[in-house]
Amino acid sequence: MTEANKINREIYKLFVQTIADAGHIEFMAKQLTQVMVAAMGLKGAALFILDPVKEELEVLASAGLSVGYLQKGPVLANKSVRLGPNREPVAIADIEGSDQLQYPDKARDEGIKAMVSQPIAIRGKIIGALRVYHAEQWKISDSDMEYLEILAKNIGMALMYFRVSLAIGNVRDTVNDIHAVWL
Amino acid sequence: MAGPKVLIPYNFTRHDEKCVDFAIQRYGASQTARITIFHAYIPVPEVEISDKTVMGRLAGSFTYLHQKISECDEVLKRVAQRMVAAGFSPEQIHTVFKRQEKEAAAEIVDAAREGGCETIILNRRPGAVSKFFTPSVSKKVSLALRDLEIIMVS
Repeated sequence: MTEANKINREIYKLFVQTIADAGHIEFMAKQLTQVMVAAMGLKGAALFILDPVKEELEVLASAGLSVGYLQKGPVLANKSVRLGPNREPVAIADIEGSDQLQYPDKARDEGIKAMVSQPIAIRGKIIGALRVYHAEQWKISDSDMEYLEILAKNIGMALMYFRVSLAIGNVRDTVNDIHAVWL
Repeated sequence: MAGPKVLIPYNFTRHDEKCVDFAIQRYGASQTARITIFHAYIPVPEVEISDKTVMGRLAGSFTYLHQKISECDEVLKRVAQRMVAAGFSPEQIHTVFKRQEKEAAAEIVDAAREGGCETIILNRRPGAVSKFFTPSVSKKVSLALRDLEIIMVS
């Protein structure tokens, strides 16, 4: 089982650059997952947003995963990858024999052997998850885990930026709709 | 007589499948309706980094990602085949799989205009939490194409 580092400073810079260069959230999320898959030699990667009411994770973007796997059913926050009591990162080095997955058979059919889930938080509140999937058994190194943790924080900030940007755009559209007679 | 030209933006979700089902129901009996199933994919980014080992690995992996994107084109064609199996003639169903250059809504607007469509079938994902981060595609499309029939399937 490999434990070699998959992320170095150059690769991490590439991740952050991908986030910073994106003009739209769709591009940011999709291209980040693409670059992660390519640079880390992964099977797939996905970015989820948490629906706090349904306690479900909604896919914002993914790369390397089949349409069938993405449509496997609702991804429940507490069952899809059972998180620790403080919703800490979870690493499953070998999905065989693990009871932490909600859809173990679907993961097996997809060719997933290992996965890592990193919560995305804003101001201490979980708003989503970054997940990476490997086609081989994989014990993630401490260094890679740290890089993913910092990356998740960057993603959280980017999501906050896009949230605020969307809100400001909506305000601008509303103001532009007001006829001069009302002003 | 030329029948209606209909655009179905398709993003590989079960909600998009509902739009296809709706189109089959509404236009299945028509011999003249022309339906375009449309998807604009986000391209793999072009990157350049100084670490040659990493760059070499990236080149190989990007081939894998391009292959994954091609698989989506195949899925789109299977959707077209499903419509043909439901009674449409192959000439009535057309797929467009193109590189996304703009926001999704702008791509749909362009596709509708270029295709001379009269109707667009969109879907709504009730309660989708991503709406807090992404602009509403249906809202943008309906504002930009006020002269077209926009059908919302939910």
